[in-house]
Amino acid sequence: MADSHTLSVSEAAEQIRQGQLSPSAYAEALLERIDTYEPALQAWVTIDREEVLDTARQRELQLESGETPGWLHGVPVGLKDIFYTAGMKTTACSRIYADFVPDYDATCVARLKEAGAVILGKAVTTEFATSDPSPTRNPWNREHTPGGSSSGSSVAVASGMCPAALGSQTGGSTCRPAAYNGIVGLKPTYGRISRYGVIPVSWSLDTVGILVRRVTDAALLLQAMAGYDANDPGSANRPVPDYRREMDSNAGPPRLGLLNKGYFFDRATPEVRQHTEAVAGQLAQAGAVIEELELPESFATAPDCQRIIMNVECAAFHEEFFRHRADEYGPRLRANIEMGLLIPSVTYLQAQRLRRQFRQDLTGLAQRVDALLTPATPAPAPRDLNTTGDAAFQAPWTSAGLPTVVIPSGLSEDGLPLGVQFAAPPFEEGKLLGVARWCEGALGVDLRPADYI
Amino acid sequence: MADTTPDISQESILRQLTAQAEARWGADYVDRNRALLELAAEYATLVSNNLPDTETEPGFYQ
Repeated sequence: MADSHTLSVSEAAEQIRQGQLSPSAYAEALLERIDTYEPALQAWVTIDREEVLDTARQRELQLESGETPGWLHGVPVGLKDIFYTAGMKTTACSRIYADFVPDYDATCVARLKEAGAVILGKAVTTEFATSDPSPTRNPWNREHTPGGSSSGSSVAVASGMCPAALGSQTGGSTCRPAAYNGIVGLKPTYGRISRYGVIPVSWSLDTVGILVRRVTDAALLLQAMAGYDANDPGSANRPVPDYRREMDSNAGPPRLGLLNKGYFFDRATPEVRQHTEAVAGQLAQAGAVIEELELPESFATAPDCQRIIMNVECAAFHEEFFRHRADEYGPRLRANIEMGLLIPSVTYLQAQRLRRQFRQDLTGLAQRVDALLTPATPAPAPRDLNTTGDAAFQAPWTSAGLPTVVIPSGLSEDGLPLGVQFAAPPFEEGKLLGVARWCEGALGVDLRPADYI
Repeated sequence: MADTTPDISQESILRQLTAQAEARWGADYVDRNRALLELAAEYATLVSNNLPDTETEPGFYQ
């Protein structure tokens, strides 16, 4: 099992189904890898080794008894430490939830288990999935932030500790760390995956995110988790398509809307701008049609609306704890809560109204092409461990609820990962992933940090 | 959350937020968190000066 850590989810699942890879040996290999690299990277909060190996053995027995394997049978998956896990601590890396042990699994965790996944452990998050940095280090360069808030999940996947992990995104917490660590991140449409049993930041923004190394793997995890859940008021009651079939029906060269005027390119460094133009050129050479599009006027207020909504809803969730235990919060989260407590109620509602208009405008823009194309981040991961980086290129899509996927697209002059981001209309994940998979193939970029190959 | 007034200049919003913050957490807090209050006032002012079409409902979710 020397190289099992390099397997993608789909490769591992296939080898397990064919009897070529033992779930126990696979889990053991990843646990050994975690033992080796965890001291340097600090990606994990809780790993119950015995539970992992017991579950892996059960998966073996299920296969031996002829049970039909699920999509993810025997595949280890990491969970950001905001997902409820029955009987296992779920701390949100906070002092407030330090001893919290849920008595049920989050719906998405239960669905992963139903699909045969082995829950490998709980990965580090920034405190309550907000912006106070975590101790996790970037495997590409430990002096640079790994991003956040899904820092542990992203680093675990990038360093080969697990083939897949769950994150979440309220601003940019899945796709930004995916880009900083050179992996694939999927933020589905708001409401596509249940948040029942997920510690919230902001109810009307929070989205479960997927972190993997290949685009196809994102489709597998999405297939396992997507679908209505009456326990989540934001859950979308819409049928779940066969995502791999939808990807296959969008397997040809796509029509891409390049957003190279205004917001994204104004904020990007010259290196990122040049890189994104070069990526678009490479995709065009491979057959994609590139159309330059302009952003709607409503984009101007979208980032501020997102911050208002996030801070007010965050303050509402934390208000009771905060009255008595404000000193136990990190400084950035504390400031967010305080701002949320002060924002006038009418301002919050106006922000939600503006957001609806913005969503309609952005959906209309996305419908003009197969997918919109932007840089993934304004710059590669900053050399600063006191920040989680800039979420500016993710927050507008999160606010609009549109699905986005980030794929690695190259390295910066400093040897750090660069990525590009695609967005599609709501509930068009199948097409979006089909486009991203085609671009992944056309670019041929598969990044692995040299010290963790 | 408090109510807004008809006056939507950034200065007036900042005055309201500062008064609320002082009532909640005291004058020391206001002195230490001037930048945060100014940022909140900036967000609120931008929203107040870019109101949506009259018939747009919030549409919290889908």
